[in-house]
Amino acid sequence: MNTTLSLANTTDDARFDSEADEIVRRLFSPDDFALTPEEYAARHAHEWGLFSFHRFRYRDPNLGAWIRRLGEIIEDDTQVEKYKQQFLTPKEIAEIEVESADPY
Amino acid sequence: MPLIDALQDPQNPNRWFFDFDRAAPGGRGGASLLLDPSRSLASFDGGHRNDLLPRRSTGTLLAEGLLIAGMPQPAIIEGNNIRERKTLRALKSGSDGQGTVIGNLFEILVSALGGVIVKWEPIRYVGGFHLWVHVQYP
Repeated sequence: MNTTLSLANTTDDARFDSEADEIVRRLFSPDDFALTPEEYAARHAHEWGLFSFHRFRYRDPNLGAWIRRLGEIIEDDTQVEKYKQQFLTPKEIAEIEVESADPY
Repeated sequence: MPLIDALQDPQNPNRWFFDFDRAAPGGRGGASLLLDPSRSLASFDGGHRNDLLPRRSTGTLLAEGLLIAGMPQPAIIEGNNIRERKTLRALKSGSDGQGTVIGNLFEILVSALGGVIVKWEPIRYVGGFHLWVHVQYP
């Protein structure tokens, strides 16, 4: 295993020192934001290959809080699984397993 | 007409966002990335497919974005903070990333750029993994 520090590790503060309001409003629909971060994660965490939006700055504090909470959940598989059990039916969970096999 | 919109951060010329919605309107999707021209490194730190496009479409869109962003032949491509579950599981088990979901995405991306991956380099950090691929061009 190589121990080289990545770009992210060496310059984390600078790397995410950008406002991401516009970006996340393009990526997430109004229907997405109507969900709690917990339910969004249950239904959609599997669709994200990479996720770091919780590390950016936000002008809109509500948007920032929603994304930061989502990031906390997405970074913790146990939370994702917990919210799947809370919000989804067994059929929906099975459908996500199938969707997760889709390559990008 | 490009299939994506490439948006450059006005405060940081190396910070980009590729919006995939134009490729299949309504499907959304996109990728955020930071370029490090001094190392010829393109580091992707956010990514969601366009839900209306066929499988294996995302790599080609990323390649188009890199062309627009002015880094058509990066020497290193990074997946920063990998969250895709199967890839993460494989990396934790000692895989070098080749043949994983994110690895396959990078294979398609590099092929679209006209290069070949010559080295796979997973990077462990507290909380997860990054994945580097080193690329050569003929």
